[in-house]
Amino acid sequence: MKRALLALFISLALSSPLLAQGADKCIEGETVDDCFARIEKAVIPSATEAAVTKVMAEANTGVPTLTSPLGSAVADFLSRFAASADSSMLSRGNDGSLTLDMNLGAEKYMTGRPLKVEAVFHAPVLNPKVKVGLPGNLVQDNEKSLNELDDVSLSLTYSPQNRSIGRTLSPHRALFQLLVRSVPSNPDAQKLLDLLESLQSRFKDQNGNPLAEVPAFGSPQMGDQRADVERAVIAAAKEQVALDASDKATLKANGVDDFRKLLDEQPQAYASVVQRSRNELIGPNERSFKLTYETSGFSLRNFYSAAASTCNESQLASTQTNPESQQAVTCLDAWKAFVKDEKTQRALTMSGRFSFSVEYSGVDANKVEIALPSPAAPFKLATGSTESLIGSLTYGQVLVAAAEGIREGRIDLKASYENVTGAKNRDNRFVISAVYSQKLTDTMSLPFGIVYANHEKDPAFKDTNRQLSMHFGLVFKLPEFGALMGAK
Amino acid sequence: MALVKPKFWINVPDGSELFAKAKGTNDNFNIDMSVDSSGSDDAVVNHAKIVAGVKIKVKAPNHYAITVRINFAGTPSPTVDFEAHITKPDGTQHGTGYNFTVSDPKGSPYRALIGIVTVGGGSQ
Repeated sequence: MKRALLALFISLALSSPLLAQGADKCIEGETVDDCFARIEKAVIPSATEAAVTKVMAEANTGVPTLTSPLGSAVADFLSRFAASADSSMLSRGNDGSLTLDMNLGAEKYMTGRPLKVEAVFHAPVLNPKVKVGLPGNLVQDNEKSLNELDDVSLSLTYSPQNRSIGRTLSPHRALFQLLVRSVPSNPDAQKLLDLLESLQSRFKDQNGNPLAEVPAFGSPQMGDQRADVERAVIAAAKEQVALDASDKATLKANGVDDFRKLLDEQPQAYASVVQRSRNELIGPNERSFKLTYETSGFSLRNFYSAAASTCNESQLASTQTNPESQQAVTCLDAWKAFVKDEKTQRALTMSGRFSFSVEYSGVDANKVEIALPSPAAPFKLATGSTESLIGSLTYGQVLVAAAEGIREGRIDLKASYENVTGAKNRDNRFVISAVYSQKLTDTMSLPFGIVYANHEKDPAFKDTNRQLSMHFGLVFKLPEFGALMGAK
Repeated sequence: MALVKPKFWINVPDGSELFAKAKGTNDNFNIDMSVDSSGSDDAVVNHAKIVAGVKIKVKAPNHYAITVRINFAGTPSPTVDFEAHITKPDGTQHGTGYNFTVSDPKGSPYRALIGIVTVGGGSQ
């Protein structure tokens, strides 16, 4: 079956229309590597366009920030955290701040290094209110007295990564390797190597030393063997294209795309604590903590439950040491049965996500007193302490699943309550929002939302008694510049 | 798009070592190398070994067609740097090194071919 599929891909590659346009030969001065790569690309001409469209189309997730404060349960709040996983770095920001971050956690006990410690040394800047209240020479003296340790933030974040929670690949690698496994046979590549072996003794530099790479087409060393090498290169390049297509078909048949979707549906949890310590001339000390949990209800962990007796952790581990074993076949069958199951198929098209978060932030009282030249009274600035506790609940659900001729439509519901203590210009408030986002094209969506906020006691809204507001807009997402450049 | 420019080395002395290593901005990718050899058993080198940096000894008169495959899964998707070079038995590097960088936010697999033609050595 696999051979038949490969033969089909090879015949499709051979019949590519571009080959009739002179792309089926190596150019003078071109190396074997370059010619090989060019022939490969010529046989798959639309790959670049497809890749860019895919980047643009599939990057549209979550409620766009345009409609803030509307929240989405579909956004990946861990992306930023995990983006720097396995790294430790020191960087300076545009504002002069210095950031040191480290990811901690032994791989054996905490897959994916889930602990992150970050220290930010902010550029020390005098509180603007202090600056305004002091004469010029005292401003300079006080600014000079500040150093890099006068405004420091320390944060600790934790995000568990294992088979039950987290969206990193590592805990699921054994299953993934089973799905993507392939041992290609490439006889045309071997024929090319056979030919190069028979010719390599003549490939020498000006001093008579053997060359480490094949000379370019048209070079004297290539001589009368050019046509043979060219034929072998073209055949091997087409073989690679056919193998690639065959590989993709196998990945599709093994449900690799479904694996990715279900991995992205795994529950995720995140906790962070931040302490900012400042010189009183800069501002008050602050602290905060945040806990977030998100779940979709159906994800990869459902497979592990369903296949507990046929493809559990130890059975999966054994497939890694012996990928040709019967156990590997059993696991693959269990996975395919799980993917084909009606419940899984429904979850793959209509996924809902539920997230819950609690956030606390507190600001200490701050007191500044600076003596001024006599007879002026000392400069004094005092601020009180404030605290806020915010709880939020968000649910996102695909209402209209994407299908042939139908674009996805999704609803996001969010409720949050903010309890504020000590702040003169803020009050407790309750906000509820509902947003429906309809995709119009692969890159354009239309969000429509209603927001209720009971801000009647909030001085910030004293000029309006409206508690209900509506938001709508048109969102067009551009692909990332890097993705466009990389696709060229 | 999913095919990476290949690399061919010729006149590789018997007993040389191919060194290969992959490094991602995170671990949400899987890389493997299928070693298709003309004279010995084929083998698959797995992700953990390549990420740690793997050395494969090449023996003359065999030649080797090595397929490197990179698959992505998980959030966020990383950028992966792959590098390989050949060290001769005398410790010096043979020819130029090979490296490429790939990234794909939505998981398209990548494939690269490495060809090694040896010289010298005895019979198989």
